Amino acid sequence: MTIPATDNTSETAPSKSEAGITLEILRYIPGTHSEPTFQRFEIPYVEDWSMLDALGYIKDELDSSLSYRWSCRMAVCGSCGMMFDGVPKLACETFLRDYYPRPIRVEPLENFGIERDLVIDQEPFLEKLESVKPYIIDAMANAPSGKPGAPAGHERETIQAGENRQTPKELALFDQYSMCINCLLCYSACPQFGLNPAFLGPAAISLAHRYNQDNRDQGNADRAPALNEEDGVWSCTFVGYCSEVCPKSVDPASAIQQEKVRGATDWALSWLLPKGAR
Amino acid sequence: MRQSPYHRPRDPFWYMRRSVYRRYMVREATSVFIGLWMLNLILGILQLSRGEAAWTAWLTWQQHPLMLTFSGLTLIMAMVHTTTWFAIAPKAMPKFIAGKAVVHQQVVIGHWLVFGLVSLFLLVAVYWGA
Ligand code: SF4
Ligand code: FES
Repeated sequence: MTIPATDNTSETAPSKSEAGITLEILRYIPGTHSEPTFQRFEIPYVEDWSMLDALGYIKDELDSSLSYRWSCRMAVCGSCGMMFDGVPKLACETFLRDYYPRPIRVEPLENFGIERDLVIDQEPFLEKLESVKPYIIDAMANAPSGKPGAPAGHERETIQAGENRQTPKELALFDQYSMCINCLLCYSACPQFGLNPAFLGPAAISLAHRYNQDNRDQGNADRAPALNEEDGVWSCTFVGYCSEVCPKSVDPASAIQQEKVRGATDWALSWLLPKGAR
Repeated sequence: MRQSPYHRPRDPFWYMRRSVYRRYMVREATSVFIGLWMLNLILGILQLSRGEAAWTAWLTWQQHPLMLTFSGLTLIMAMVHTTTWFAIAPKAMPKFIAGKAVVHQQVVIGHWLVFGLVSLFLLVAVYWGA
């Protein structure tokens, strides 16, 4: 088969004489830099390049020491979050053409410690995520052969225990919150997290809410301590920017407000109801 | 060993950086006016307990151009607060109430309806009551 001789050089190796665009990238290499500084890169302007493509060009052709996270290239893995002109976005779904011909400022996600260049420290978030137990707890308690509250026996975990059915409506209660890809854009958008790094934050609360809303789950009480403490939902003052930047329309602000309502209701009921009935 | 990450200094004027933050700060700032106006009201009740002279003095003071301006300003601030608050109220709503999907627009309209009815009731009570 012969390949038609088309001029596709602009796609693969654009020449310097073509239109260009400037990226100002915040660089920080521990041990080499005492503090982060901006470095300018002049790169060719290719209309269909995402920021991730542009960073790839820089790493391959101009400076191999540039560090950044990425994996899926299609807004699924959540690794490529960074700031473009001060707005948190995913590099793989942000395009040069939306900024051209202006220079673009690229910075690591705000409100996080910088490991190196555009790579931020996710460790504190992962600890928070763990603290809300983002998994279904005692899934088979309500299965036909299961008894709520009974210890999870091996038998109940098997298919013999019966199906754990869920209606579309029951699914609708949480599916939006299960779309979170842990990209952390919402944390960069949140001024309260910036002021108080101990704040549990939008994504962790959204995922807690996701499991709290799941009718197969029996773990609300297990998640309550992390959610209801001062650094939990109550640190949120409803700025609402987290929901604006979320690339998956999770609407974390709504999850937080609904968990506030749940926390307040539980608290009120704890005064009204006798111990056993709670 | 892993280096400890670098933490950039926080911008003390962070709230000026984005229009979302500025709008948020305006919403929060409106409560300062409402708070001050409530203090004025509490002062009024205190004066009422001190006898007629004190109460009349407080009432006269309310008619001073300065106080009228302040009250007017507080009214505007309260409206800003109410409008912005009602606009985001649907987010705090559960997805279903009594088995029915919650429509965000209806939540906002419902808030305004209740607000309107209560205001009307209070107006009627103040003018034709007592
Ligand atoms: S809630 Fe949205 S912005 Fe936050 S981590 Fe999840 S996907 Fe990203
Ligand atoms: S590379 Fe996976 S979300 Fe961007």
